[in-house]
Amino acid sequence: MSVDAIIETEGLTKRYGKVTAIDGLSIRVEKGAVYGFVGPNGAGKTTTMRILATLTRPTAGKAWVGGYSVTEEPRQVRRLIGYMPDFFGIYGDMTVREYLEFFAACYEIPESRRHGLIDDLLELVDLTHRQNDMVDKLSRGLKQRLCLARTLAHDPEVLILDEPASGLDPRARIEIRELLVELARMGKTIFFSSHILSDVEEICTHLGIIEAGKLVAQGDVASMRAIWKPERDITLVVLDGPDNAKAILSDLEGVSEVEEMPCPEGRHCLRVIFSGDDEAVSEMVRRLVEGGVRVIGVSEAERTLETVFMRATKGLVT
Amino acid sequence: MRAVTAVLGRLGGTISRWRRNPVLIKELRGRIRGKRAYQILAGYLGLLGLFLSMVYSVYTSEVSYTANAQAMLLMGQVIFWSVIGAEMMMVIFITPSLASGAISGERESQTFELLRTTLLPARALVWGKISAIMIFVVMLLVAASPFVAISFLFGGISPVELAVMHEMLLVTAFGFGAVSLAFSARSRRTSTASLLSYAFALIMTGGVPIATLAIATIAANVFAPTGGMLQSLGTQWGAGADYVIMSVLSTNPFATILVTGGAWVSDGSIWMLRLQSFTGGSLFSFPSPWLPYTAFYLLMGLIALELAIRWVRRPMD
Repeated sequence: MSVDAIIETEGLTKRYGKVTAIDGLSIRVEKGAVYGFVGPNGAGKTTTMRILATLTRPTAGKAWVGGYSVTEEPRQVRRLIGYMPDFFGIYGDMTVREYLEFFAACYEIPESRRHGLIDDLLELVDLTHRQNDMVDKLSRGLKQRLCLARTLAHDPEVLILDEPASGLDPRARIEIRELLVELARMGKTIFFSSHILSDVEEICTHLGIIEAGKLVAQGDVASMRAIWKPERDITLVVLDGPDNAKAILSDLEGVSEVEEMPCPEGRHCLRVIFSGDDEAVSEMVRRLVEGGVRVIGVSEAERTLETVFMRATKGLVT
Repeated sequence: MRAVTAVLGRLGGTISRWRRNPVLIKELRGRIRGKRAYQILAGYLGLLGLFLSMVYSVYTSEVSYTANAQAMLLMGQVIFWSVIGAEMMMVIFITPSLASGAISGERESQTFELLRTTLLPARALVWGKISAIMIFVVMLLVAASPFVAISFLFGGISPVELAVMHEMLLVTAFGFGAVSLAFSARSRRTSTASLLSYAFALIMTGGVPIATLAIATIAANVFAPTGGMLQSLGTQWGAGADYVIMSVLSTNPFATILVTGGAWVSDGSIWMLRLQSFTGGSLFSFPSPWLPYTAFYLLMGLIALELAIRWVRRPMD
């Protein structure tokens, strides 16, 4: 296992009968990273997380958390992780405080420390005012926050969160996202899966894309964007007819596509898919101006993870 | 002295850990908060009261218990053994309903995996569950104690009988509870665990007497000293068959109550019995059935709990 990796898997494979859920997966998560694990439904995200959470035994391969093998030393791994599954039940006949007290006891937190710890957890997830309410009276978003507080009861180094924002309304989703940002700021390593790529994009430092049980891409977000979406998406606004500009742009090196887009009256907007650095963009604008095109605006669309995801995956499912 | 102190210290630690077991605390709190506990308690006491009223009516229509002292003592014994029999029936059928959903229910409600990723040992989970079940059963027995106390108004019951029968009720609850808990740990669904638990209860209550009768009939024909198919093997084979028959019979709760109670009432023996051979041989000695019964149910319960711990520990996929 690598020295600075807190989660690492090597050739991790899980088969259910004839179905291979994950196939030779090798991932690496550095300490302090926020690792977004994305992939289509049935790609193997939950299986991977369950193996890391010591709930499922792999058919082959190895996995370590904090240097401990998930199959050989599950108790040490459980000490290090806080796991939140995608679907979880709650003990509806308990109050919010009793629920956290119960799990604090399960994590062997001494009784003398529990009261203060639970106060802190309730404050972190903003449930102090609901501490005496029965758990089954909470909304789904609040239950999700309570479950997140539960995973933090023993102050774990690593959080393994399977779709932490799934099924939540926009407000609850944003609140969970903000909580994750806060936890990352506290130095936790977060390994989480999500379908909501904008959330992943906003908070993760690293990204792993899984499809049909295989890891198709992995790395820090910036390099993933550069690798999987090298072209730049540039919009030019010109005053003259677009034909001259189109002709000039088509002759330029690195331009793969030019198309006219809707634009306010009197102006023409051109979308240029272009490979090149900032110097090349500047050169493109100069050539247009020299060719008599009156350029009044240049903007570039951000390279989103959505594009990276769509390019990295092929739409396969296991 | 140092060894005694060490043992006492270890025992104190175990009791302290048991009292702080989070599963036990959660289960007791949850059970008392819900409606179900009160429904079970009300149903249990209602049925017991109804049954006792019927016994009383039938008995008093046949015999005037005020006629003489002997009739009063007999009345006390009838009430006592009726209550114990009914309590045994309740324990056998209520305990599986409490235990069969204890772990499979956690799986169904998706709380099991949250527990399994904590540091809570599988042993603490299983012992917490069985302890909560046992405490609830004790509560039921205590709640029914006024019914038992009625028999003391008439007399004829000794404290030894009371203690032995309640000990039997508790080991029965432990044995059936532990086996149901093991089925619950093995099954994904509570319905499967319940089915297996009640099938087991039926085998132990109905199947064992049938098996005993079959073995006794066969043994009587095979080992009879005169005319037996294998009489040439000698009487020790017939005596061996007697011990087997009594051992099998001692796993049945109702037969054990009948034989233990009968021996106590007829000749005051609570430890050893002198019984007539089933195979036509001479009288033979056998421990009072509540003793092998206790040993059997405790051992079976402990084995079932170990299996439950193993099944809780093992991932399901």
